[in-house]
Amino acid sequence: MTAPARFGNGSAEVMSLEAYQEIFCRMVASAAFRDRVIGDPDKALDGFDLTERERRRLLTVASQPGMRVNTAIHRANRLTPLDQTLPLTCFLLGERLRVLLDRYWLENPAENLQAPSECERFSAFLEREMLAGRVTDPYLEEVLRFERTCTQLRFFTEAELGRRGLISRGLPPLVSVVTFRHDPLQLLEALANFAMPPANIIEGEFPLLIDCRSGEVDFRLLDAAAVAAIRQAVMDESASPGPVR
Amino acid sequence: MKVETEIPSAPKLGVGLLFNRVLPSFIGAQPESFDYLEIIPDREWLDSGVNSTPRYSVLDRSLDFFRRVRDDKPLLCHAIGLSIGSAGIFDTGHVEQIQRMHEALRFAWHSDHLSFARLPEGDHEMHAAISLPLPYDEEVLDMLIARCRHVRSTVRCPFLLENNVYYVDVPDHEMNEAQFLNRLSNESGCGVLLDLHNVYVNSVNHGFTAESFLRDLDLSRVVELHIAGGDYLLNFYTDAHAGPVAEPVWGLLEDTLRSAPWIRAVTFEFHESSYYLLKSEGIRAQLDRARQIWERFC
Repeated sequence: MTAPARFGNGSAEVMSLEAYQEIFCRMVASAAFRDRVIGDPDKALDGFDLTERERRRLLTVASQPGMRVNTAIHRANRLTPLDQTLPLTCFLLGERLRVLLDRYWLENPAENLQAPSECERFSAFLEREMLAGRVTDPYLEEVLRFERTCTQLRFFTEAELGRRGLISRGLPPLVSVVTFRHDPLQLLEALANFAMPPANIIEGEFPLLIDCRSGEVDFRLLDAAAVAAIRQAVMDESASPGPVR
Repeated sequence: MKVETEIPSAPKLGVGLLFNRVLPSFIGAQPESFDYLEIIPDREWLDSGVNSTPRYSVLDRSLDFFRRVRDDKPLLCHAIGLSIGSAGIFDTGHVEQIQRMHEALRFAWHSDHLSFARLPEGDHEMHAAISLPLPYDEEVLDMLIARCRHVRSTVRCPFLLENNVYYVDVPDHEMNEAQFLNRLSNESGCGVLLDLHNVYVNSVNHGFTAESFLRDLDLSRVVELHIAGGDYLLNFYTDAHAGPVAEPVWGLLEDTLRSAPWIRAVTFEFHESSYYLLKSEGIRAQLDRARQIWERFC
């Protein structure tokens, strides 16, 4: 960390406050850790530099009912950025979401609750889960890619998109194309209406143009002529093909 | 030792709204219903982390929107990201970014929360995802006074800290919350953003009266009030910002405006997910009721 300045008088009391806050925070994030503190405090708090008063405080709050409220709010606040950016993905996951979130939150303690950051981290986690075969779903990969792209276009500046290599060649900076393997209109409409998509959605190659230049997300299916025009624009920019994601 | 403060120079604003994503249409349709807009700057920028260069990027369309609002209405800044009570982190980069936002949007004042949420963890950070309470001890007070002074010298507008909401009782405090806020504001020069709903929530959950807390608080340091509603979770009343202002908070608003000499603004907060409970008419009703009370006392 680039030297966030440390203030205070440097006394043992303030220095140990850091350990006190870490344990407090861990007890909020994890009911299992909290139970360990209650059940065997010597073992759970071993290695932490605490004053007697801090230890007493932690043991007192650990067993208070309000800690369950803290944990519930912690979980709700971690879910909020995902619900804001990946609502269709979350809906599609259905009952699987709870188990996935438990593992994601365990492996990825909250760092930054900003919506685009959490969207990127959870998307990468889901991609790893799909790659490992732990999550299988005929529509998940394309719905996730669609919502992730929408989030990037909504929340990242043009400069940030450029730094992350997310500007599609042949298209304006806040425009992108996501290619679906199933009819996206049928798929997205079902999810937007809180209905699980049917199993028989038409398969094929469906390039969906996403345009965020107005600040809102607009999208439309591209026909063959539009795709050809984009490919020509890319050819004009460089010899490398493929503006689509 | 009492420190000089900019509180008396803060402009009198009236009744306003905390901005959220469902408000743009209301702002456009009913501009006469509010006197100022309070924004959470952390939601308008992307923070790539303290090790990143550049660290912050702000969407032009966000700045453009708030600049247009600023043409007609004052703006206030209510940050959520400093975590001023974190023993292991004092994020001076965040403070500098607030000053940059102030240069862009000219806030009447800025505020953050008297709590901690961020912790160092190796090269990264851990976030509690909830504002957690600080021990009200001398050592913590010393740490916060130094930090408040740093904030005040970096950001060129008055700085307020908001009283926290808490769901557990931390034992063995060296002073109570009101005494701690009084010492902190008097010795650091910061003002107080008194969240009346937080006071009400704490009083419900911890068995004291909100009036007794307000009697102990030095109301001459209070510049802004927050009013909101809540909801029940696991048998606790929480600061959920759900729907309309909780009825008892209206009474606290009257009592506080009657007694506090320097209050400059009353801000209604609601969470965007509860818009369906309020709709435009409900938002307008909260603002109108707050204005009626404001005009009786201010």
